[in-house]
Amino acid sequence: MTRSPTGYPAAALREAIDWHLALAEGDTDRWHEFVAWLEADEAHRAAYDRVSMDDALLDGRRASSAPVAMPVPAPRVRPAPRRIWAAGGIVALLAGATTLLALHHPSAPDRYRIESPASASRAITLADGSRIALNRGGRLLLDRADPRRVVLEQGEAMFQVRHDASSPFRVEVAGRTIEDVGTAFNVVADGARIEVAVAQGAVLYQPAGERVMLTPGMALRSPSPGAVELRRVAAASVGGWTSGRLEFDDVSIAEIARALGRSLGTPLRVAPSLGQRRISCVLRSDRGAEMAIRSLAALAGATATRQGDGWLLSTDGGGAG
Amino acid sequence: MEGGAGARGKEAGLKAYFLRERPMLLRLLVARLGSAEEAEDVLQDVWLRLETMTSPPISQPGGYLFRMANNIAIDRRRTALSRTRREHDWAEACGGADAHVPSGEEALIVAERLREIDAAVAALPERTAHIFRLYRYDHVPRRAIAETIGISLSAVEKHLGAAYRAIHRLAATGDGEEGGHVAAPCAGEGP
Repeated sequence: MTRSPTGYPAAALREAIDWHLALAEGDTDRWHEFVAWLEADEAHRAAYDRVSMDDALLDGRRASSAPVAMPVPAPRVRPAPRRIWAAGGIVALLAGATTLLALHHPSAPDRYRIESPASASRAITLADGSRIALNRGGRLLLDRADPRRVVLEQGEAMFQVRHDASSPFRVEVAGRTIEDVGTAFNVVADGARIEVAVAQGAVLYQPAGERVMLTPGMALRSPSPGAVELRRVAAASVGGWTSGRLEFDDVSIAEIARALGRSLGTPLRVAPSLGQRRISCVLRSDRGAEMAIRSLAALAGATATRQGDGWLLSTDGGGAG
Repeated sequence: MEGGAGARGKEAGLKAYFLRERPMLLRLLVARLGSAEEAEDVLQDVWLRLETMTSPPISQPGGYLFRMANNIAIDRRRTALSRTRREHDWAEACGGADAHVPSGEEALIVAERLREIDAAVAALPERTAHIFRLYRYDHVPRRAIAETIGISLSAVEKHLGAAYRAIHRLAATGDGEEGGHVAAPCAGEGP
């Protein structure tokens, strides 16, 4: 019997690897065959154990060479989808199939808007079971005829998408498109500036353009169409606002203030002298605006004062000196 | 699909599946763990999870159940390993003062094995390594990898098979061993 350099019978090891890959998507029959294979030979059991335990060692590892813009073939079609509902339709670009979808007229009766007030966030369940949490002051455009298309017009939303490779879920935001190829991701629309972060699975940013694949723990920021910055965040922290927990790791105070303001429904301005400083912190947004804002002020070594309908964070405010 | 009743129906379906597949699940676990007692224990664990599950996102309940049982079996083995590792770390931190702590040999083996795996993946052709990392570290579904990179699903699977064979130091092609099960060189994915 030929043995691999690791001392296991090579044939058993090869078969174990094939099983390991097949079982990830195997049905009942496949598993029955696998059990029979395992029981047939001690070498099979040992080889599969080796393969599966080795593989389990890799859990929790992250790709160090984060997949940034992947070397992908040029898209077959390059539409300029300015607005998803506008003329031109939407071109779905998958490697295997190029699908031209029906055009939605702007006045289509199936379209409807969902807005959340500054006082509360909203949860939405779409017909396909996908769920959206819309943060305070957000606005979504939905389509009854096509639950796989959503426009985030304003604000922040966390998407838990039911993945369907044959009908990718798309979010249109400030003229850019995000296509789900996995499950859970958060999107912010703030004027022309957008942010996307992935908690699970993967999304494709601009499937017909830059085609940047974002995987768990990757966050993309795009200040304007065509510009892209990538950074790492804790995957578990993505969409934390849905549970009142905002986590920031080396983030500018200006950006933290925007995120916190969205979740509190309260404008939170930051003095320019303070805005670019970066800190790491965890803030609770579910214990009242004042407590959250005062926490941030304390962490930033700043003073929080009421200003109009919101708050101002500054270093020289009248108070704690 | 259609609200609460549908979801409850699915859960009931999963439990019915469990009861039907129980003998086979047990055989799987006995084969994996080598102990009938521990296998029963894992089955109990599976059942408890089914009890507490709220919304099973399941298209293949059978595959789902078997995967769950198999994953729990793997977790049990891992827990045993990491316990050894923790004890090792503790012993290190305490300058080895704790005489009853195991040698930590197991933990060293784990660390060494991870280094070997990293080296094997790093030595792969770039594209194979990239696909493997996407799949295994970033949990990107195979179909999504295929769609993003623009190759076929089976090409992705060939890359993954090649990566795992390299990790286990098997030659990329059937190198003469009996039953050279799959000869799946990874060089290219066609035109």
